[in-house]
Amino acid sequence: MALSHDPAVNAKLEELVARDAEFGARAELRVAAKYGKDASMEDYHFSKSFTRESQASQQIDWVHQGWLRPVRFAYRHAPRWVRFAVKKAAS
Amino acid sequence: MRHSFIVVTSGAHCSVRQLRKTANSLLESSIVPNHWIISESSLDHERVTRTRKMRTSSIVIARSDVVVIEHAVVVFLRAGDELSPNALAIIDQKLTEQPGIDFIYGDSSHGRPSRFEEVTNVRRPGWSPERLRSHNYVGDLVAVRARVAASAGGATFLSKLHSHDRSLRLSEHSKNAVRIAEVLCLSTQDRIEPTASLDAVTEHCTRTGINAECSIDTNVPVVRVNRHVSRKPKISVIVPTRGTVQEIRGKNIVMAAHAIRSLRHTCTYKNLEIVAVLDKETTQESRNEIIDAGSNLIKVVEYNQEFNFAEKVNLGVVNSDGDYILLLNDDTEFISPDAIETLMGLLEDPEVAMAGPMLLYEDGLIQSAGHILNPIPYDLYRHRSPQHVGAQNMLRVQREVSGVIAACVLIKRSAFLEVGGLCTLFPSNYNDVDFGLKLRDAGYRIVWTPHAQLYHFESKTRSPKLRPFEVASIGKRWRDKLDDDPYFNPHLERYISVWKQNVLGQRSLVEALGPTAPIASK
Repeated sequence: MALSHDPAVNAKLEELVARDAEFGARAELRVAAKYGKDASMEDYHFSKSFTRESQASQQIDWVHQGWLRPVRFAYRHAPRWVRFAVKKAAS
Repeated sequence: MRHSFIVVTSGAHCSVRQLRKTANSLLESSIVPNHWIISESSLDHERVTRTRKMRTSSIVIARSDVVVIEHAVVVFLRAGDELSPNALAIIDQKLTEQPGIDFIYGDSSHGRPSRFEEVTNVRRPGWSPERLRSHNYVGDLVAVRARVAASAGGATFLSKLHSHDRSLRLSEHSKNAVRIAEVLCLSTQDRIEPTASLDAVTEHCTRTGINAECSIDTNVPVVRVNRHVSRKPKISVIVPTRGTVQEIRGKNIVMAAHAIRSLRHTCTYKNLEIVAVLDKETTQESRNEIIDAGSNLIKVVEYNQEFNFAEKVNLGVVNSDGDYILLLNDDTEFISPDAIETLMGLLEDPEVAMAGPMLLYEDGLIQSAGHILNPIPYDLYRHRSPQHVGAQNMLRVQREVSGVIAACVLIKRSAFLEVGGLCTLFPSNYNDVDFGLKLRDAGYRIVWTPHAQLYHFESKTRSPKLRPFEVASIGKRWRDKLDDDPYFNPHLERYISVWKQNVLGQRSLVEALGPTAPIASK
């Protein structure tokens, strides 16, 4: 459906869409050559409720979970060598 | 064919111990350099060569310029810094794979590893010429083709210069610079000299014809390059809106009218044309207020389709005629009076097609400091304090990015039309990410600046939900680019919006627990 009553405006919009499609087709070809035609984004950690406005705060939420409090307390009050041993072992 | 390597070190103001340290690292290198030039050497430096290892090695120590072989590679290394054992081999491999490269830099390690502490690795972004004008983000170790060093003044001359000055001079004569995302050297010294950087950048601007005022940032040791705008062409401001009324700072206001008023009253740039693209749902009251706010500058364009942000923007652009396009969301408010001049200054560079400002939330926290593809698109340092300077002062410097949020961006009209505007397959999310990637695909650069600031009351006027088809579409087009953001570093932690190295003992939750970690399932 035409966006405007002015044919000149519609022609310019169509031109934009055509240019965009050119870039898109070229990019899609490149992606298909690298990942295959049936490649999907499923191995990326997108969540259905993954909103852009909360993207950063979500990433650090796990450190504030309740069950971590006593663990963190014990870790922080452990002797220095224990803390470094745990750190080394964890990595 | 293996390249010949010539390592150049300045012998001025350094001890024999520092030179010996560097000498030992050269001897342990998997590819031993052919020459080691110690410029400005003194008699003390003879002691470096007296070691048995050095005398028996194939390295030729030169006290002055040697005849540089045409295909040689000149590596600038500071006295006291140690070359990584495989650094020259990595550089050699890169130059063999891509013969067009003439400027290489890479990551570096700082500090000494101890029983309790690991070394700090400085992970650097890809080639970012605008950022190099603010600080020497490429580091002290730089490898260039001999012809680049020769045309920039000669290896000996360059080795005597401050590292920032040297990097700028070399960059002026190189055509293809790349970053190697591996640690190339170990340094135990810190050298931050902002006044030397200021002189270097000022001279660089004079040499390259950049009309700018350079100054040192008040908070961090970086240089601010404030370009003077040579002319003031007409800017078409595109404001797509549905006339939403929302509460901002306790008052119910028509968002678009507020954005337009702030543009007209806060900004000092006056050669504007405002195109408001109004939805059919826009009430008459909102419509009147928007027209009133825009006064004689406003042009109203009607949009009678289902909401599609990209389509609305494109419609606004084809109904305008300015040489530059400022995309402005209706939920924004200008903070910096010279925001448009700052963005316009960045577009004076013919290779830069789009420039974006720092966006802040209503409560003053960072909303966007440019995009990062990590591998899904993030707004850098979102929800962090604006007092935060970021890793390697990245929130205080103008730098190249993979994209900027379309809430407020200044774009060259020619570039906008060349890449086909915003893609209408992305009605609400990711149209800006796609647009940025198209511009980069066309060979343009995108620059973000912290020196232009706006409030962005994001998603006050629409739902921020990301839809599955948008994810699928962005992946179908740009998955290769999402996986390989040149302004990111593969050694950094993924799926976070900050520049953080994935270091020993601090593994990311995704890596530790896999994709079922709470962050993914939440």
